Amino acid sequence: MESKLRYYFGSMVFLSGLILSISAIGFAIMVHLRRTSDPSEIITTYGLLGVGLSFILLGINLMISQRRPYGVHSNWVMIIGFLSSIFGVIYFAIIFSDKWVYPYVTYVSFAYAAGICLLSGNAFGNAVLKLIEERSRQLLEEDPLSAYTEEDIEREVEKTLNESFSKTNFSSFSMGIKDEVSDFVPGKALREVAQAKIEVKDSIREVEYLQSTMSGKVKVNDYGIDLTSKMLSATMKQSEETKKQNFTDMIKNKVESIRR
Amino acid sequence: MAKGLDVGTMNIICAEKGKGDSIAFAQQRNAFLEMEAGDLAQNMLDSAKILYTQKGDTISVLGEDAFKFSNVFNKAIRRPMHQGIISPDEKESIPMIKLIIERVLGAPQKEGEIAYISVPAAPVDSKVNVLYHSKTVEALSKRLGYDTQLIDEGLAVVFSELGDFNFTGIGISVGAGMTNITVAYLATPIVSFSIARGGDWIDEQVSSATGVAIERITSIKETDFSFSSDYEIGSVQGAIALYYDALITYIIGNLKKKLSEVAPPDAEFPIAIAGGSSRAKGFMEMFESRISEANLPINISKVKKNKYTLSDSKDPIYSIARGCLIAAMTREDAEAVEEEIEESTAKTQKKAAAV
Repeated sequence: MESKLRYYFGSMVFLSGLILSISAIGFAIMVHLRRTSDPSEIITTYGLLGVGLSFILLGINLMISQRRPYGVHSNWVMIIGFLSSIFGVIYFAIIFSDKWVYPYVTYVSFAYAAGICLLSGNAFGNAVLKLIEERSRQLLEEDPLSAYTEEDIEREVEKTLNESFSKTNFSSFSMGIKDEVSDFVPGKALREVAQAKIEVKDSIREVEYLQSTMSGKVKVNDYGIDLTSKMLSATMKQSEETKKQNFTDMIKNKVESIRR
Repeated sequence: MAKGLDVGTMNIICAEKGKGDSIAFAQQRNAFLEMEAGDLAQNMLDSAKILYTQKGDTISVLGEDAFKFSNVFNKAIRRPMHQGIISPDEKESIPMIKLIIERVLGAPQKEGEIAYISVPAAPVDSKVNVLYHSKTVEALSKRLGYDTQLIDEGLAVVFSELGDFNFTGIGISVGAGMTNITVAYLATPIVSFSIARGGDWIDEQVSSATGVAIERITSIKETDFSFSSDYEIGSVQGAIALYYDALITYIIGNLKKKLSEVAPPDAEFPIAIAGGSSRAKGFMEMFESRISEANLPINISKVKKNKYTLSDSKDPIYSIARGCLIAAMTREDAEAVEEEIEESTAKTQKKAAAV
């Protein structure tokens, strides 16, 4: 509620400042403001503009003001800045007509500049703090369960369990698969009689099929392919030798023809 | 020697390569019965070669014999698994599963022997998490010295039954606790899910509808029920048929829903059905008829009968263990090929270095 009220006042002050500044500009245009203009026109224009700018910055400060602990310091800076700038404007209005000389000009400039600097600096600082806090708040408020799907959690658990089985990572004890000391006494049949088995005729050709389906390769024991490969290899060797022989004969013939 | 292990709610089955062209299956019921210990009882069990363990004053009869004794003594058997996973109410019976697994799987012939174990996929209609079950079963067989890998039950059915179709199709395992479904394309699962309904669900529903004990329903369902027969309204068999139909419709409904969430490739998808609860006579025909009415978003080429319905054992419950064995042997072969390549590369490098 409090923050809503501050935001309401802040936006109201901001808008007032904006209206004042625009009015100042409008007034300056209307009266054709120049250096030699009537002092009352100059005071009205710059007074409105100065107060307008102060209001704009005060509005921004109110809108993005901080809560405690920074809030207390920030509020003081805001109040001092605003008062300083308003003091500058008022002092300007008082002295402009007949005392617009050194050192009074310096007092006005210093007071107004200090006020504007404090207000704008405070606004910037608050904005930066707000950005940082917003991000950390988001991270804190984020539901850790909704960040992971059920599959992610299951995968994580599975990974941890798999790691637990490898002796290098965890001891089996820590994951509860320690061999328990059983006080069961096995019966005679359990100790001495071998497990009965049913044998069924089955060549399990699926192993080969599955192997080739998964790898995309087919293993064959084909005598025809082996024989053809051997014959092709022998023919290629023979052809290579013939080529070499032809090449040697050609060189020999050339050498002989040169000799002749 | 690679092995495949099917850890089911009702049966634990291990498949391994037998002598010559054969597969050897070792099977035990995943159940036990607690009895009071005594010298007489122990002597009787020993002479009858019945599997049991003793802890203090309690004897636990394991496996198939537990069912026989349950009928004799009119005592309820305890089942370590419920709805396809280790029962949260029976966590103290994990040592019993361990014993049964050790019994059927046996010791590995060498350290790091490959074993593929079937596990259920995540259910679509239950909040049950299968991870704890999967990892517990994996840990139990790892303790024996196996290099253990997990495989979806549905995919194991695809591996076992759809080799002739390039491992493209839909594998459905209708078990006691769960129904597992995998849609695979070239041995790669596209959709894999399970339904927390199976044979036990039928038994429970029929029992509550007719007031007959669950054990009796199970017995009637397994021995005295066929889809092709006509039953009177109000009979147990009639109720079984009704709930079987409801289960099939439910499976197909969920399959349709899941398929609408993915974009399956434009190929023909045969369906292979396995699992103990698909043993009822006429189940395949019933399923085929329901699937043809369902208008699924994929092209179903046929409903394939289980491989073993044509062989001597005539039991589709071995399909999953067989699929696991196929996966294990394939990996074993692939590893052997890799080793060969590595060896030949090392030799070539040695030769090159010598030159």
